[in-house]
Amino acid sequence: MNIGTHLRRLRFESEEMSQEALARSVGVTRQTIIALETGRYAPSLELAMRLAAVFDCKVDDLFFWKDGQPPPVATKGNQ
Amino acid sequence: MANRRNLLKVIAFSLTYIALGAVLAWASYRTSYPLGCVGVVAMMGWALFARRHWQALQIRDGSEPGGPERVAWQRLAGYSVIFGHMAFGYFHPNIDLHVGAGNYLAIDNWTLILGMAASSILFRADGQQQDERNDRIIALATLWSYRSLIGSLVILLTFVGFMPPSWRSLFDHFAVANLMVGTIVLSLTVRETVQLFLYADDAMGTL
Repeated sequence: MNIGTHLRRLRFESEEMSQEALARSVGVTRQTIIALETGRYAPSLELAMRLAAVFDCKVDDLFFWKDGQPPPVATKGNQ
Repeated sequence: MANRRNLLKVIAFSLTYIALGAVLAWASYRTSYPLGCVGVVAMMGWALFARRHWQALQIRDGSEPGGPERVAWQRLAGYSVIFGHMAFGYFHPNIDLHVGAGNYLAIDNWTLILGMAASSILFRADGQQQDERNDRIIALATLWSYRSLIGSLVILLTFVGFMPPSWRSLFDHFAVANLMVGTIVLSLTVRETVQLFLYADDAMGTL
């Protein structure tokens, strides 16, 4: 996956909020928070915005492109 | 490598329970004892063991599977043992499974279904912990389940339509109905298997 996240750092900066507490506050399972933090899952826009709201930041402050820019769009013609 | 091990674990788990169902059907048929309760004990025993194991993982390092994944394991055990039990009947089309005359296979099959329902009670709360990541995985697994159902029906219908006339006496409408029920159970088994494959993939970051 090409998207990274600062979720873990922000969680620790927020009085070491637990994964369980964060999961409860945005309405997902703890396993999904783990998947997000380890870069295995790209959230929906709604979940990304909910997470940003918890940490009172922008979605851009929470998620970023690992290569600094989006990868080329894969279409059926150039896959 | 770990990913392949996870996939093999899912397949081995399903095959074990399919074999258990088939062995129970064979033993029940040979001994004329209703052995469905043995399958129920196996399902409940596994469910209780799995709950304790996952609770221990949660306390140790928080690596326990999520609620929907736990439900998928429970359903895979149930569907696999029921499918294995039904599959035994397919190789013996002369057995009366409709009213169960001379054997306990029909009663055993219903006993296994009740056992699966009973073991699902242990995981009822887990099924309610669903979110968008689980929704995506379940949707993909359901897609593969439908594909397997359509594929199985095409094979079954081709078989019924073109089977040699000498076989027709073996396949009365009860036998064909049982085959159709089996295709549904098989597609449900595929759904849980694919769901667990996808969770294993997700754990390795390839979804």
